[in-house]
Amino acid sequence: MERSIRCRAWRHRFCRVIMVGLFLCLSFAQTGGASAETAAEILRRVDESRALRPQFAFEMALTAYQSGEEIDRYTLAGYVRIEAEKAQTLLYFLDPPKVNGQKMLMRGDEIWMHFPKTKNVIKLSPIQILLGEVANGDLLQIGFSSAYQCRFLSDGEAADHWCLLLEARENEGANYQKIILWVDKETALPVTGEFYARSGKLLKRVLYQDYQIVLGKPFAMKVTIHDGTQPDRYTVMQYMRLVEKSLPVNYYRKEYLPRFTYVPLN
Amino acid sequence: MNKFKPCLFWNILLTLGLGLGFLIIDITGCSGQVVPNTAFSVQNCWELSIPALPSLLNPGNFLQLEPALTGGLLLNGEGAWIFANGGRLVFADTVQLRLDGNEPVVSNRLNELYFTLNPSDCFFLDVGKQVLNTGAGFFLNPAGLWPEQTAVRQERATPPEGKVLLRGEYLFPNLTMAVGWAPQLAWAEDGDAVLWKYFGSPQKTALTWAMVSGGFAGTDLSVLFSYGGQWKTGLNLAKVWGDQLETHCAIGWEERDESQSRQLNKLFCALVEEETGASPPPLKATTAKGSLKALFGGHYTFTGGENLIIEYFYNGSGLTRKEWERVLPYLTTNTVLASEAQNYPVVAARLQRAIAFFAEAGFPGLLRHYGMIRFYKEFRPHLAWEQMAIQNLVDQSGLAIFRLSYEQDRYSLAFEVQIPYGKKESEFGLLTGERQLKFQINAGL
Repeated sequence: MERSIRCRAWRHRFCRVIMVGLFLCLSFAQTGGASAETAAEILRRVDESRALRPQFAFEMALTAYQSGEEIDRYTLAGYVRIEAEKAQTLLYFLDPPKVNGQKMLMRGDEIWMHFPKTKNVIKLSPIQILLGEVANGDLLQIGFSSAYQCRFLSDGEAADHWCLLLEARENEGANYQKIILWVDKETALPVTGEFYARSGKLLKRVLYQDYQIVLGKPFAMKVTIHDGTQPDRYTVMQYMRLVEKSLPVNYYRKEYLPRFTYVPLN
Repeated sequence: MNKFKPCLFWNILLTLGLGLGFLIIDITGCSGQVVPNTAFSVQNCWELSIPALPSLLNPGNFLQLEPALTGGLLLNGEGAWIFANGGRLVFADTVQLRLDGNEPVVSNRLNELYFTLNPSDCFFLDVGKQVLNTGAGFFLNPAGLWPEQTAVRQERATPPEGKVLLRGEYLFPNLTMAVGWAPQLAWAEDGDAVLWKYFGSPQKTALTWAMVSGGFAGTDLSVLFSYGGQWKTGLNLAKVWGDQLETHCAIGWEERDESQSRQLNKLFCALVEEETGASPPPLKATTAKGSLKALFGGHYTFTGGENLIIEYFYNGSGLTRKEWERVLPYLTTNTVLASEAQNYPVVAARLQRAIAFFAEAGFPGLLRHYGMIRFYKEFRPHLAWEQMAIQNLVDQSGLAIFRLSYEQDRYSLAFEVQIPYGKKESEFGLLTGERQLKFQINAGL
């Protein structure tokens, strides 16, 4: 009798363990990430989606809005070279006439600008504003993995989005102290981001929109950046063309910047 | 002490400028490949000057200045053509048409005309008249090839004028080396001289240089050696710290020019001897083997986008405080003499000697320690505020500049006030007659 009671109790506990285990497995399967993929792996997939080719070029319109009205607009051409997960970007300002001929080189976390009026190359800090809500450093950001360490933020997670918390690594050239990034679970493409300063202040909210297949990869052709404290101020980065294009490696030198000129994308 | 004297509107220089600018894209029919940075602009500028306040350089309104209207048209053109072999032709020119005289006067200044050859991927050869600008200083470039070319001057003036030179530049993997030579080109600086009228400024001395530039640990570095009659060496450094702060320094050392030192001492002795009867010792800066000039500065960007630049400049070739205090009595005596009309010829001669001394000594920039500050803020849309001050840290005099500008794609509007401040017996106090109010409009089609 006593033995049968002990056997029943043991079977009961065993079943409970199996049930709990099954429940946990199902939970892991539903979240699909915690065990199937780490946050760092997801972030790497995000970075891979943004690096179209080792070298590519684009034409972009930057438009600043306030209360729905367009207040300023730049058109510029960019040439990107990615080497060892670090991006080098050359920008040539095409329009309007007041900025035509200005050039910018971004290499790692260093930025230089050449003004045709002064014929001088000066070093800029990443926070200096390019236009509207877009800082120079925003265009540097081809990938996040090298500059940020990443983990899941369960509070922000939704059924179809992962929520990643990116925290700046020391001395890796991160422009923001913290980023909260929402990533589509199905495509591993960024949907929304919140970018924070060292003080904890929300600097900007970013929407990644209008994904199109470009050079064989889905790419956000429109990025809208809202001011963190004044939502009626926002800037739209609209890519007009994206092509594979290579420039000589010498072009990505600050000494070459005065010589650099617009290279047509065709 | 009230350093800021109020701006007296009936004693100001009023500048009214009207500019027209238009941009032509894609000029066809030229040899080679055309790049879309060919531009023409037309400016229509007029200035109204009103008699200045008396100062030590204009005692008792001795100069009897009268209102004067000056102005004309400026036509600026520039273009760049790139050839299939990588060569390049660059052209920039300014034509000035003065309309304020009895007859229109046309003059031209060729700012740039040079060929660039590209024999290999890493090697460039430039021949012709070209603008070269080095150094991160905003107000001054003591370690540059031509220190008078600075960002603050070029932001406000007509396009910069280049130098005729031959330069080779090689881009190694981690550094760049350039060697160059600018010949001596001498012609009269006279309104009637053809070269002065149509080509531009002469080059008084030949200059040969070598420069190495590169970067390490996020720091930009360049080192210059040049010889143009005297040896000169320069060092430029620039680095960005974090997201918001850029710091830079420029240090230059130049061998003393014996003939210039003799001339400067001669002028200095003449002033002091005439005033005191005693011969002073030579200026300290003229006794050293060379002079050191150094600029240290930083550029901070606030999270709201405002920019602040602060720079300190040490001028090793300047006068010491004691030497400056020997010169001032010579000027204050003029004020006493100018109170009687019979002394005007004497005052005129004394002023001529003083101005000759200041020109030789480098005015403004006479003394040794200067501080500069510039604050810039944009108010959207298109409105910007800028304020600057250049202060002599020895006699606490300086120049304050305030500027409000409104800029659209093809036109801009700017309003600027320049106010010298300081005691009458101070370096910038000599400029209290040069208060300026500028109003400028540039428009484009």
